[in-house]
Amino acid sequence: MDTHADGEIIRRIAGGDKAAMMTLYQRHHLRVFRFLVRMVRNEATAEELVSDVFLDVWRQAGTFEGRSSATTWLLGVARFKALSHLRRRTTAPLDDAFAEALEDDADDPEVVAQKTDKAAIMRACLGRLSLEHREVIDLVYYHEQGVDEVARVLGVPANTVKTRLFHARKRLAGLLAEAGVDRGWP
Amino acid sequence: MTSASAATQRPDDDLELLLPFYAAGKLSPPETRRIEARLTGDAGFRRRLDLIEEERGQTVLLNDSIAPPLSATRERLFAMIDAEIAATPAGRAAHQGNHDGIAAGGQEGLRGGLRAWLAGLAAAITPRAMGYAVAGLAALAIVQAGVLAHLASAGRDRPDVYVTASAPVAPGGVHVLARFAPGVTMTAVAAWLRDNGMRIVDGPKPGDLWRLRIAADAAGKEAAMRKLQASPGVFATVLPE
Repeated sequence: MDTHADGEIIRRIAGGDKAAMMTLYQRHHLRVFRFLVRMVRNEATAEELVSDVFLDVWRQAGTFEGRSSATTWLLGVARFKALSHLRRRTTAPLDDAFAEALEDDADDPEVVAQKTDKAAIMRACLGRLSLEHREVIDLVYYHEQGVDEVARVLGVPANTVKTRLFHARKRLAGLLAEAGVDRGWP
Repeated sequence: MTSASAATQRPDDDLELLLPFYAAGKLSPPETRRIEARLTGDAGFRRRLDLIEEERGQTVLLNDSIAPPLSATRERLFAMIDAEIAATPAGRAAHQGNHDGIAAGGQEGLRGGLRAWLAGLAAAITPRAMGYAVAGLAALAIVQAGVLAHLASAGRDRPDVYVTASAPVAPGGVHVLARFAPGVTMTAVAAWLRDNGMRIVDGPKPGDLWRLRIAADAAGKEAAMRKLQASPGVFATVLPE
């Protein structure tokens, strides 16, 4: 993604250019939507939230200082929207321990174990990670964000990003082992 | 995670923590050199990089399996933006922190009042309600697009070897994700794929991965995988779906 072009597009949006807004939406809406779906696990909710994210961009484009890429900025806004939604949906505070506990129960280990294809088992296990773990996995593996960029999106120190990803991978290995897939690591 | 369990799961060293970012091509040149020096002499480290590539490939597939949002999502967004533009004379009052559009509208007479009314309407309508309102327009657009697509496809030649990233994914068949070897040209890749009855159906995806259709059915999968893995000069990485 051309970050210089994105910066220029956002500058035009800040000046009220709706065509520029359409361009930015076309360039980024799919990645933002997929990030939201993986966070809130509901496509209808993610569709509402993606509108909210880009409406915020329209309103706040003038505050974009270009210190991070547009992608990092958008993912940060999207994460904030998703967490706000999850907080409204639950009465419990969404602290780290609560986020850690949020694991998908769509595919339990027995169902996963019945799948014979290793790749399909891994995708099922990726879907079962906690919110905290799947967001860091997605940010690095799918959205190709570096250490500092992930730190900005998550609002944590860079070292925390590195160890969080390591533990997410450990958890994934554990889920794979429960499903009968031994990769010899860790 | 408890501190005790965290302690038992500490990584070997900092390079271990950086390896996923190396796979994503997101390290600085000095960090990249440190990783590559370690990879040169440490088979176990190379094996762990392979595992990361496997995780990365499946994460890409998992995310790519999420269908795009409905077009009504875009229509809803831009309807809300249009309402905001109509509600503010300069179109950008919200940027300037001016949220008193109704009061200002009252001073501008009828036009201002209409703008203020639109602003109030936009504020009152939830995104979902707005979605229902534009769904009918979106459905009409989809019907029109379908007719146009049908007309366009009627006279289009079907490519045998190479399909652009915007083309629809071919239904059926056996697919893999592959990353081409450094330096190999697309011409060479296309020739190799043509000679072996395979083709590109999608890409590039994050990590420079391409989706290839390698066989018509499961019976041909093993032979196709062997061909791919026996050509390291063309394919650096091959991941099953």
